[in-house]
Amino acid sequence: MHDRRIDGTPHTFGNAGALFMNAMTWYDHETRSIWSQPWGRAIQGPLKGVELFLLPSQVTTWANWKNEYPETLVMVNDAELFGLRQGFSPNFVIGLLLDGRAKAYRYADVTAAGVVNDTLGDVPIVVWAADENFQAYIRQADGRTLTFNAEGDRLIDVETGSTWDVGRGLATAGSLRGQALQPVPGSTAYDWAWLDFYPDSEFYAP
Amino acid sequence: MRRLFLLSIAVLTACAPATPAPATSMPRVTDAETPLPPASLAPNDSIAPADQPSVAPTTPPVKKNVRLPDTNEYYFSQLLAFDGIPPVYDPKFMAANEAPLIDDELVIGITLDGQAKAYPVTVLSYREMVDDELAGIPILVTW
Repeated sequence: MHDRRIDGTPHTFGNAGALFMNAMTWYDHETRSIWSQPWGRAIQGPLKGVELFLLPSQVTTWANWKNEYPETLVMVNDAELFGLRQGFSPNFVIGLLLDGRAKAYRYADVTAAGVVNDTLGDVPIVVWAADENFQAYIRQADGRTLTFNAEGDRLIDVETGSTWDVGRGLATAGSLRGQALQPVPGSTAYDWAWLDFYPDSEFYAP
Repeated sequence: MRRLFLLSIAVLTACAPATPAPATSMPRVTDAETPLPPASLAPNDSIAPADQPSVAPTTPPVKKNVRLPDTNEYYFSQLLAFDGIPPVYDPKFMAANEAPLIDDELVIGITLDGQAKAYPVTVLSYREMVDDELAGIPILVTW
Protein backbone atom coordinates (compact mmCIF):
# COMPACT_ATOMS: atom_id res chain seq x y z
CA MET A 1 0.00 0.00 0.00
CA HIS A 2 1.58 3.23 -1.17
CA ASP A 3 0.89 6.95 -1.32
CA ARG A 4 0.41 7.80 -5.04
CA ARG A 5 1.82 11.32 -4.66
CA ILE A 6 5.22 12.23 -6.04
CA ASP A 7 6.53 15.46 -4.54
CA GLY A 8 2.94 16.24 -3.62
CA THR A 9 1.38 15.54 -7.02
CA PRO A 10 -0.92 12.50 -7.37
CA HIS A 11 0.03 10.05 -10.10
CA THR A 12 -2.17 7.31 -11.54
CA PHE A 13 -0.63 3.85 -11.68
CA GLY A 14 -1.40 1.02 -14.06
CA ASN A 15 -0.12 -2.49 -14.65
CA ALA A 16 3.05 -2.52 -16.79
CA GLY A 17 2.46 -6.13 -17.83
CA ALA A 18 6.06 -7.18 -17.12
CA LEU A 19 7.72 -9.25 -14.43
CA PHE A 20 10.86 -7.94 -12.74
CA MET A 21 12.59 -10.52 -10.54
CA ASN A 22 9.37 -12.51 -10.75
CA ALA A 23 7.26 -9.76 -9.26
CA MET A 24 4.88 -7.26 -10.77
CA THR A 25 5.70 -3.90 -12.31
CA TRP A 26 3.63 -0.75 -12.64
CA TYR A 27 3.71 2.26 -14.93
CA ASP A 28 2.54 5.74 -14.04
CA HIS A 29 0.25 7.39 -16.57
CA GLU A 30 1.98 10.76 -16.25
CA THR A 31 5.54 9.75 -17.22
CA ARG A 32 5.25 6.08 -18.26
CA SER A 33 8.13 5.22 -15.97
CA ILE A 34 8.31 1.54 -14.95
CA TRP A 35 8.10 0.69 -11.25
CA SER A 36 9.00 -2.40 -9.22
CA GLN A 37 6.18 -3.30 -6.85
CA PRO A 38 8.23 -4.82 -3.96
CA TRP A 39 10.57 -1.84 -4.00
CA GLY A 40 7.88 0.76 -4.65
CA ARG A 41 10.54 2.41 -6.79
CA ALA A 42 10.88 3.37 -10.47
CA ILE A 43 13.47 1.22 -12.26
CA GLN A 44 13.20 2.76 -15.74
CA GLY A 45 12.06 6.04 -17.27
CA PRO A 46 12.02 9.70 -16.21
CA LEU A 47 11.28 8.89 -12.56
CA LYS A 48 13.94 6.17 -12.22
CA GLY A 49 15.15 6.03 -8.61
CA VAL A 50 12.07 7.70 -7.13
CA GLU A 51 10.46 5.85 -4.22
CA LEU A 52 6.82 6.05 -3.23
CA PHE A 53 5.96 6.44 0.44
CA LEU A 54 4.87 3.15 1.97
CA LEU A 55 1.68 3.22 4.05
CA PRO A 56 0.94 0.85 6.92
CA SER A 57 -1.69 -1.69 5.91
CA GLN A 58 -2.95 -5.00 7.15
CA VAL A 59 -3.84 -8.34 5.62
CA THR A 60 -6.38 -10.23 7.68
CA THR A 61 -9.75 -11.92 7.52
CA TRP A 62 -12.89 -9.94 6.80
CA ALA A 63 -14.22 -11.00 10.22
CA ASN A 64 -11.18 -9.55 11.98
CA TRP A 65 -11.19 -6.35 9.95
CA LYS A 66 -14.88 -5.47 10.35
CA ASN A 67 -14.71 -6.33 14.03
CA GLU A 68 -11.83 -3.87 14.46
CA TYR A 69 -13.31 -1.24 12.10
CA PRO A 70 -17.11 -1.68 11.97
CA GLU A 71 -17.36 1.65 10.12
CA THR A 72 -15.13 0.36 7.28
CA LEU A 73 -16.03 0.55 3.63
CA VAL A 74 -15.21 -2.41 1.42
CA MET A 75 -14.51 -2.40 -2.30
CA VAL A 76 -17.22 -4.30 -4.20
CA ASN A 77 -15.96 -4.21 -7.80
CA ASP A 78 -16.03 -7.75 -9.25
CA ALA A 79 -18.04 -8.91 -6.25
CA GLU A 80 -18.87 -12.15 -8.05
CA LEU A 81 -15.36 -13.26 -7.05
CA PHE A 82 -16.02 -12.94 -3.33
CA GLY A 83 -16.23 -15.94 -1.06
CA LEU A 84 -12.91 -17.78 -1.26
CA ARG A 85 -11.60 -19.04 2.08
CA GLN A 86 -7.87 -18.56 2.33
CA GLY A 87 -5.41 -18.91 5.17
CA PHE A 88 -1.89 -17.61 5.48
CA SER A 89 0.77 -19.78 3.87
CA PRO A 90 3.34 -21.31 6.27
CA ASN A 91 6.19 -19.40 4.59
CA PHE A 92 4.31 -16.12 4.70
CA VAL A 93 6.37 -13.33 6.25
CA ILE A 94 5.65 -9.95 7.73
CA GLY A 95 8.30 -7.71 6.14
CA LEU A 96 9.01 -4.47 7.99
CA LEU A 97 10.87 -1.43 6.63
CA LEU A 98 12.14 1.31 8.91
CA ASP A 99 14.95 3.84 8.57
CA GLY A 100 16.46 2.03 5.60
CA ARG A 101 16.51 -1.32 7.39
CA ALA A 102 14.45 -4.40 6.70
CA LYS A 103 13.45 -7.28 8.93
CA ALA A 104 11.14 -10.19 8.23
CA TYR A 105 9.11 -12.32 10.63
CA ARG A 106 7.54 -15.61 9.68
CA TYR A 107 3.88 -15.45 10.54
CA ALA A 108 4.10 -18.95 12.05
CA ASP A 109 7.01 -17.93 14.32
CA VAL A 110 5.22 -14.85 15.64
CA THR A 111 2.02 -16.81 16.16
CA ALA A 112 3.92 -19.43 18.16
CA ALA A 113 5.54 -16.73 20.32
CA GLY A 114 2.30 -14.75 20.71
CA VAL A 115 4.20 -11.48 20.79
CA VAL A 116 7.79 -10.60 19.90
CA ASN A 117 9.59 -7.70 21.58
CA ASP A 118 12.44 -6.92 19.23
CA THR A 119 14.49 -4.16 17.64
CA LEU A 120 14.79 -3.07 14.03
CA GLY A 121 18.08 -1.22 13.81
CA ASP A 122 18.00 0.89 16.95
CA VAL A 123 14.23 1.11 17.07
CA PRO A 124 12.39 -1.05 19.62
CA ILE A 125 9.40 -2.71 17.98
CA VAL A 126 6.73 -5.20 18.92
CA VAL A 127 5.25 -7.72 16.50
CA TRP A 128 2.04 -9.61 17.28
CA ALA A 129 0.23 -12.28 15.30
CA ALA A 130 -2.68 -14.66 15.84
CA ASP A 131 -5.60 -16.07 13.86
CA GLU A 132 -4.75 -14.68 10.40
CA ASN A 133 -3.97 -11.30 11.86
CA PHE A 134 -0.81 -9.40 12.71
CA GLN A 135 0.41 -5.98 13.83
CA ALA A 136 3.77 -4.28 14.23
CA TYR A 137 4.40 -1.12 16.25
CA ILE A 138 7.25 0.97 17.57
CA ARG A 139 7.05 0.02 21.26
CA GLN A 140 7.56 3.47 22.67
CA ALA A 141 4.96 5.70 24.29
CA ASP A 142 4.97 8.58 26.71
CA GLY A 143 8.74 8.87 26.41
CA ARG A 144 9.54 5.33 27.43
CA THR A 145 10.24 1.98 25.84
CA LEU A 146 7.73 -0.74 26.63
CA THR A 147 7.85 -4.54 26.78
CA PHE A 148 4.67 -6.39 25.95
CA ASN A 149 3.01 -9.64 26.87
CA ALA A 150 0.01 -10.89 24.91
CA GLU A 151 -3.34 -11.87 26.39
CA GLY A 152 -5.60 -12.79 23.48
CA ASP A 153 -6.00 -9.71 21.33
CA ARG A 154 -4.78 -7.42 24.07
CA LEU A 155 -1.25 -6.51 25.01
CA ILE A 156 -0.12 -5.74 28.55
CA ASP A 157 3.05 -3.71 29.03
CA VAL A 158 5.39 -4.91 31.76
CA GLU A 159 6.49 -1.39 32.74
CA THR A 160 3.10 0.03 33.72
CA GLY A 161 0.66 -2.86 33.45
CA SER A 162 -1.45 -0.86 31.02
CA THR A 163 -3.76 -2.75 28.64
CA TRP A 164 -3.49 -2.13 24.89
CA ASP A 165 -5.89 -2.86 22.03
CA VAL A 166 -3.52 -4.59 19.64
CA GLY A 167 -5.55 -3.80 16.53
CA ARG A 168 -5.43 -0.07 17.10
CA GLY A 169 -2.21 0.18 19.09
CA LEU A 170 -4.08 2.13 21.71
CA ALA A 171 -3.88 1.88 25.51
CA THR A 172 -7.39 1.30 26.83
CA ALA A 173 -6.69 0.94 30.56
CA GLY A 174 -3.93 1.74 33.03
CA SER A 175 -1.66 4.72 33.51
CA LEU A 176 -0.90 4.95 29.76
CA ARG A 177 -4.61 4.94 28.82
CA GLY A 178 -5.12 7.00 25.65
CA GLN A 179 -1.53 6.65 24.47
CA ALA A 180 -1.00 5.39 20.93
CA LEU A 181 1.77 3.33 19.34
CA GLN A 182 3.04 4.13 15.86
CA PRO A 183 2.61 1.34 13.31
CA VAL A 184 5.68 0.12 11.42
CA PRO A 185 5.27 0.23 7.62
CA GLY A 186 5.85 -2.97 5.75
CA SER A 187 4.31 -5.50 3.47
CA THR A 188 3.60 -9.17 3.22
CA ALA A 189 5.50 -11.65 1.11
CA TYR A 190 6.82 -15.16 0.87
CA ASP A 191 10.10 -15.61 2.73
CA TRP A 192 12.31 -16.32 -0.30
CA ALA A 193 10.78 -13.49 -2.32
CA TRP A 194 11.38 -11.01 0.48
CA LEU A 195 15.09 -11.87 0.40
CA ASP A 196 15.24 -11.39 -3.38
CA PHE A 197 14.24 -7.78 -2.99
CA TYR A 198 15.75 -7.12 0.43
CA PRO A 199 18.89 -9.29 0.47
CA ASP A 200 20.31 -7.38 3.46
CA SER A 201 17.16 -7.95 5.49
CA GLU A 202 17.44 -9.43 8.93
CA PHE A 203 15.29 -12.48 9.60
CA TYR A 204 13.73 -13.02 13.01
CA ALA A 205 14.85 -16.31 14.53
CA PRO A 206 12.79 -17.52 17.48
CA MET B 1 -3.70 -12.33 -18.99
CA ARG B 2 -4.21 -15.63 -17.30
CA ARG B 3 -0.58 -16.48 -17.78
CA LEU B 4 0.69 -13.33 -16.11
CA PHE B 5 -1.79 -13.76 -13.36
CA LEU B 6 -0.44 -17.20 -12.65
CA LEU B 7 3.10 -15.92 -12.63
CA SER B 8 2.57 -12.90 -10.48
CA ILE B 9 -0.26 -13.84 -8.16
CA ALA B 10 -0.08 -12.32 -4.74
CA VAL B 11 2.51 -9.83 -3.69
CA LEU B 12 5.43 -12.00 -4.63
CA THR B 13 5.12 -15.53 -5.81
CA ALA B 14 6.26 -17.66 -8.70
CA CYS B 15 9.59 -19.40 -8.88
CA ALA B 16 13.05 -18.41 -7.77
CA PRO B 17 14.63 -15.46 -9.54
CA ALA B 18 16.90 -15.92 -12.52
CA THR B 19 19.05 -12.99 -11.51
CA PRO B 20 20.41 -11.84 -8.18
CA ALA B 21 19.12 -8.65 -6.71
CA PRO B 22 20.88 -5.84 -8.53
CA ALA B 23 20.55 -3.29 -5.80
CA THR B 24 20.37 -3.32 -2.07
CA SER B 25 18.84 0.03 -1.32
CA MET B 26 15.76 0.06 0.75
CA PRO B 27 13.01 2.58 1.22
CA ARG B 28 13.77 5.10 3.88
CA VAL B 29 11.26 6.01 6.45
CA THR B 30 11.55 9.44 7.92
CA ASP B 31 9.49 11.45 10.33
CA ALA B 32 7.62 12.99 7.45
CA GLU B 33 6.16 9.74 6.28
CA THR B 34 5.89 7.32 9.19
CA PRO B 35 3.68 8.71 11.91
CA LEU B 36 0.27 7.88 10.60
CA PRO B 37 -1.88 7.89 13.68
CA PRO B 38 -4.02 4.87 14.41
CA ALA B 39 -7.64 5.21 13.47
CA SER B 40 -9.68 7.19 15.90
CA LEU B 41 -11.95 5.40 18.27
CA ALA B 42 -15.36 4.23 17.31
CA PRO B 43 -18.17 6.28 18.83
CA ASN B 44 -18.96 3.66 21.44
CA ASP B 45 -15.44 3.66 22.84
CA SER B 46 -15.12 5.73 25.94
CA ILE B 47 -11.58 7.01 25.74
CA ALA B 48 -9.87 9.46 23.45
CA PRO B 49 -6.42 9.01 22.00
CA ALA B 50 -3.97 11.45 23.52
CA ASP B 51 -0.83 13.00 22.15
CA GLN B 52 -1.10 11.47 18.73
CA PRO B 53 1.09 12.94 16.04
CA SER B 54 -0.80 15.74 14.36
CA VAL B 55 -1.41 14.82 10.76
CA ALA B 56 -3.88 16.74 8.63
CA PRO B 57 -4.36 14.55 5.57
CA THR B 58 -6.55 16.98 3.68
CA THR B 59 -3.97 19.78 3.76
CA PRO B 60 -0.66 17.93 3.77
CA PRO B 61 2.64 19.67 3.39
CA VAL B 62 4.35 18.75 0.14
CA LYS B 63 6.54 15.77 0.90
CA LYS B 64 9.50 15.27 -1.36
CA ASN B 65 10.00 11.67 -2.36
CA VAL B 66 13.39 10.02 -2.04
CA ARG B 67 15.14 9.80 -5.40
CA LEU B 68 18.03 7.37 -5.36
CA PRO B 69 20.89 7.95 -7.76
CA ASP B 70 20.52 4.71 -9.66
CA THR B 71 22.74 3.84 -12.61
CA ASN B 72 21.82 0.15 -12.69
CA GLU B 73 20.15 -1.21 -15.79
CA TYR B 74 17.24 -3.46 -14.93
CA TYR B 75 16.00 -6.22 -17.16
CA PHE B 76 12.49 -7.56 -17.16
CA SER B 77 10.29 -9.63 -19.37
CA GLN B 78 7.40 -7.80 -21.03
CA LEU B 79 4.56 -10.29 -21.12
CA LEU B 80 1.49 -8.14 -21.72
CA ALA B 81 0.55 -4.68 -22.87
CA PHE B 82 0.09 -1.93 -20.31
CA ASP B 83 -3.10 -2.70 -18.37
CA GLY B 84 -3.34 -6.14 -20.00
CA ILE B 85 -4.46 -6.99 -16.50
CA PRO B 86 -6.83 -4.07 -15.94
CA PRO B 87 -6.39 -2.18 -12.67
CA VAL B 88 -9.43 -0.92 -10.78
CA TYR B 89 -9.52 2.79 -11.62
CA ASP B 90 -13.12 3.27 -10.42
CA PRO B 91 -13.39 1.52 -7.05
CA LYS B 92 -16.92 1.23 -5.66
CA PHE B 93 -17.69 0.63 -2.00
CA MET B 94 -20.30 -0.65 0.40
CA ALA B 95 -20.68 -0.43 4.14
CA ALA B 96 -19.49 -3.46 6.11
CA ASN B 97 -22.97 -4.68 7.03
CA GLU B 98 -24.13 -4.65 3.38
CA ALA B 99 -21.12 -6.33 1.75
CA PRO B 100 -21.49 -9.94 0.57
CA LEU B 101 -18.12 -11.15 1.85
CA ILE B 102 -17.73 -14.26 3.97
CA ASP B 103 -16.01 -13.95 7.33
CA ASP B 104 -13.10 -16.22 6.40
CA GLU B 105 -11.92 -14.45 3.29
CA LEU B 106 -8.86 -12.25 3.37
CA VAL B 107 -8.82 -8.52 2.85
CA ILE B 108 -6.08 -5.92 2.80
CA GLY B 109 -7.12 -3.00 4.95
CA ILE B 110 -5.91 0.52 5.58
CA THR B 111 -6.90 3.23 8.03
CA LEU B 112 -6.11 6.92 7.73
CA ASP B 113 -7.44 9.75 9.85
CA GLY B 114 -10.09 7.53 11.43
CA GLN B 115 -11.41 6.21 8.11
CA ALA B 116 -11.04 2.58 7.04
CA LYS B 117 -11.22 0.75 3.72
CA ALA B 118 -10.83 -2.93 2.87
CA TYR B 119 -10.08 -4.61 -0.47
CA PRO B 120 -10.94 -8.30 -0.92
CA VAL B 121 -7.90 -10.41 -1.80
CA THR B 122 -9.97 -12.55 -4.14
CA VAL B 123 -10.54 -9.52 -6.38
CA LEU B 124 -7.00 -8.20 -6.00
CA SER B 125 -5.66 -11.57 -7.15
CA TYR B 126 -7.32 -10.90 -10.53
CA ARG B 127 -7.10 -7.12 -10.79
CA GLU B 128 -3.79 -6.67 -8.92
CA MET B 129 -4.04 -2.88 -8.55
CA VAL B 130 -6.48 -0.26 -7.28
CA ASP B 131 -6.06 3.51 -7.66
CA ASP B 132 -8.04 5.00 -4.81
CA GLU B 133 -7.96 7.60 -2.08
CA LEU B 134 -8.66 7.63 1.62
CA ALA B 135 -9.03 10.67 3.86
CA GLY B 136 -7.84 12.85 1.01
CA ILE B 137 -4.68 10.80 0.45
CA PRO B 138 -4.30 9.25 -3.02
CA ILE B 139 -3.39 5.61 -2.40
CA LEU B 140 -2.26 2.69 -4.52
CA VAL B 141 -3.37 -0.77 -3.45
CA THR B 142 -1.41 -3.61 -5.06
CA TRP B 143 -1.29 -7.34 -4.60
